[in-house]
Amino acid sequence: MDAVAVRRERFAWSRRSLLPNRFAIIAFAVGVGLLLCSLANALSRAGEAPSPLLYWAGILAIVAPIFYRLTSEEASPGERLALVCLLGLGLYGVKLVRDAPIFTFADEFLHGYNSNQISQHHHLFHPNPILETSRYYPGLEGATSALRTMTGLSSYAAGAIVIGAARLLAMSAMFVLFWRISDSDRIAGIGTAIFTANFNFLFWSAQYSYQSMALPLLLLIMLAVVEMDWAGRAARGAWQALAALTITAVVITHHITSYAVAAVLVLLSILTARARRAANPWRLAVLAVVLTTGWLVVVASSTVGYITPTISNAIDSTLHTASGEAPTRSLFKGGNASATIEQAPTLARAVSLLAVLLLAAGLPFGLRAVWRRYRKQPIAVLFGIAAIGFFGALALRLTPGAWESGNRASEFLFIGLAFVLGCTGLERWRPRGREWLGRALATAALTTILVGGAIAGWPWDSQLAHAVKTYSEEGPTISSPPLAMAEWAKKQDSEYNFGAQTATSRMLLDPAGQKVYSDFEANLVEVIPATKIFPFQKALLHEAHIRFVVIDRRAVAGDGIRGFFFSEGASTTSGWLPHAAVTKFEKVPGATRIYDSGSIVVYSIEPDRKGETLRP
Amino acid sequence: MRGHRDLRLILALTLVCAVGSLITPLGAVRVIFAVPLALILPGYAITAAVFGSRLPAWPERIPLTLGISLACAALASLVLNYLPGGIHGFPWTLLLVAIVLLACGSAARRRGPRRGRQQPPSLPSLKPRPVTVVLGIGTVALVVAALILAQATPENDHASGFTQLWIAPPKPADVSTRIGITSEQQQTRAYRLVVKVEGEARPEIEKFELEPGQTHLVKIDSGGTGPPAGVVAKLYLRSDPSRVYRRVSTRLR
Repeated sequence: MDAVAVRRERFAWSRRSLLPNRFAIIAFAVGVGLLLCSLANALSRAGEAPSPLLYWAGILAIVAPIFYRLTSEEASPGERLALVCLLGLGLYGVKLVRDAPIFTFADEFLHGYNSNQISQHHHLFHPNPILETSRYYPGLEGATSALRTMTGLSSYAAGAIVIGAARLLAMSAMFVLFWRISDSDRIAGIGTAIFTANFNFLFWSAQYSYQSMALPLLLLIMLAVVEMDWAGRAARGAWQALAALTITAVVITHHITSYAVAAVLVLLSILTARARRAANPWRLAVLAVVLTTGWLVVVASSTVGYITPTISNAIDSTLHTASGEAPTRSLFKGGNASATIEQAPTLARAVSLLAVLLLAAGLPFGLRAVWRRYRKQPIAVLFGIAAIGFFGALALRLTPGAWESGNRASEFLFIGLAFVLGCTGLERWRPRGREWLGRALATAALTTILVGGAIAGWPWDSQLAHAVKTYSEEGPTISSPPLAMAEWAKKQDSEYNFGAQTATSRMLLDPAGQKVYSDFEANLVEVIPATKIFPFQKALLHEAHIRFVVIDRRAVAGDGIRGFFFSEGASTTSGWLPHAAVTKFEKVPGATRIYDSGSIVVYSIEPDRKGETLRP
Repeated sequence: MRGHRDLRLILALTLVCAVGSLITPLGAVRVIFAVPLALILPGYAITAAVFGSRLPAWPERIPLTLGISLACAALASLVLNYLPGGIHGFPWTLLLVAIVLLACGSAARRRGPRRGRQQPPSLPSLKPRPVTVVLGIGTVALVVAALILAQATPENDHASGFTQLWIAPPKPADVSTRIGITSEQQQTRAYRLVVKVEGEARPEIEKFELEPGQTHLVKIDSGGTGPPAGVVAKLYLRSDPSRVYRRVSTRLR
């Protein structure tokens, strides 16, 4: 090699060593975005009301570089897979930096309690007083128990790791699934990125809850079904065996996802039979139906009583709204929001509606592409049907009694929509022959649907964290009213049950570890806010062995999103329950007022002695 | 196992993780060993056992490893639930090691002896450039900073403070009880506690100050000789002495 060649080689090496690879730059941007989100949350917890721009700039720093790179032609399949995994983990990080770090999502307290019960008693299936059904689906808490018992981690820390692994599984399984169907890693990358724009991705499906683990397993089952066809006869049995194992895990993890697995496999079997393809997953469908039904009948029969009212309410509410008998639900509020809750600003609502319009606008193009290229693949046809179904589920969000069902269904249906929209070919758009402009516009569209989905999926005033614990002006830490009450309750005799509204009841479960009833149990939803208590209601409290009734006077007491935090500023007593809602218990014979923190009062009701009748 | 480098590596990692998770005293350090043992190694081993010599390409192996590990952990907890002793750390470690050992043994048998270059496709090798390494370290530092910031408890002057007044829940045989006052206020406050026991001529009065987070305890004794007596405790802020700030009550035998 001559001297010039050597110099050229050295220069090329030094240039290569100075230029970082794109993935490293994007990962750095994700780190910056996460720090911005964490800073926004820290300022919000400190009561500084940071500009929302700080938080959304953090989200943009996480997603925009990834979206831009995913639209490129030159990225390798490996890089795309790494990018979608980074996207999933980066957005999961946004949820983690919002946590206190303790559970602050309503469902997390329920599963945290189940996990604590396993650690305490060393067995599964311990009763959960608020969500009885959850005890019969111990897959998530069982998996968490491996980490907890081996390390001594808290339910929060171990749960965060398990859900993080599930998030990584979801992103990688979806990417490979879309790749195998479309035979394009570019479509796979964009489709998976679109999935992160579903309304629940940022917060709801990142919480420590059974669906957060079951849905990624559903994606793995779908991948196995596609691979059974794609990988050929030799490996078919192996994929089938692993799918069977995963189906069994889903059946013991989450009821709704197990029904979704059974439904998907049955539909795929029918579509595969019609397409006369060799790898029909009918055996897996039979297994899923048998296991799901068997578990429901033999172990988790109470699930029927839990789900049936939700579905019948959804149907009734939809019919009432459709016929004009009931008003439509206000969007952009979330939870049990009262009229005093701050609505999302006009710009945020506009972004959210634009996101839905973009999804709807892309649908026909995506469906056409799917029909032209992939209609012989049963799973692609199923995704097309799901994509159309998503907009039906979207309509349910306008119905007060059906929005929750629509919200749950939308995440499953969004898998299909993500694939269909990934096929639109938006990334190949070259306005005026400029590739970068097309990619930039595609990135802007993807970012808009992600930000719009995040706004639609979680109340605007709760996107950032609020304080459950804070340093006082003089130094020592102080706790929010429900947390302080839970800390007090933790030290009490656990022989008797508590009865409380949503927010306090969740904190009585975890961290207090008390047995607590809430909502419709013992008619607490009516007993606590009322200014009078009737004899039948007292009898209901005794029947449920409720000894301690917690009256939370705050307007957010029934709010599973906002009820756990400190009140701030002058609006602390607005919307409180009337004083009579508390003092009604003074008239109950034997009742004593054992806890008073101003906003939260606890009464001890004398246990019903044998033969003693309650006086009116 | 000879000739199957991936299986030997899995076995070695499993043993290291199992021993590490059992003997490491610090829980936080045990996480380094327990996470791969529970969430990575069983999935890879089972996948290798099921596929034998036809191990899928590495993109498939990532979701399989994670997904089968999660599924395995969920189902294994069900197995432990019905074993004597139930769900504990040691049985978990043993079970996970047993799963990996059995699966690796099965994988080695199904693959057969190594012939020529019939190794399963390996993961792409990583040879990062120096600047990439620097960026990587920077990224890790940013993520760690974000998580530390998220863990930090801030000072929030706008949070409305309050004070808890509580009394031990009544029990039929109680002749004494404890009354507690815990300050969750932003600043030190001065209080006056008035406790009136039924049948006693004079109420018990205490004056004290509490810093934020501090608790003041008072023990009340009824003597236990007479009929059941009601106890009412009223807390006043000394800055507003005429208004009852908090009130609790109970009954003593």
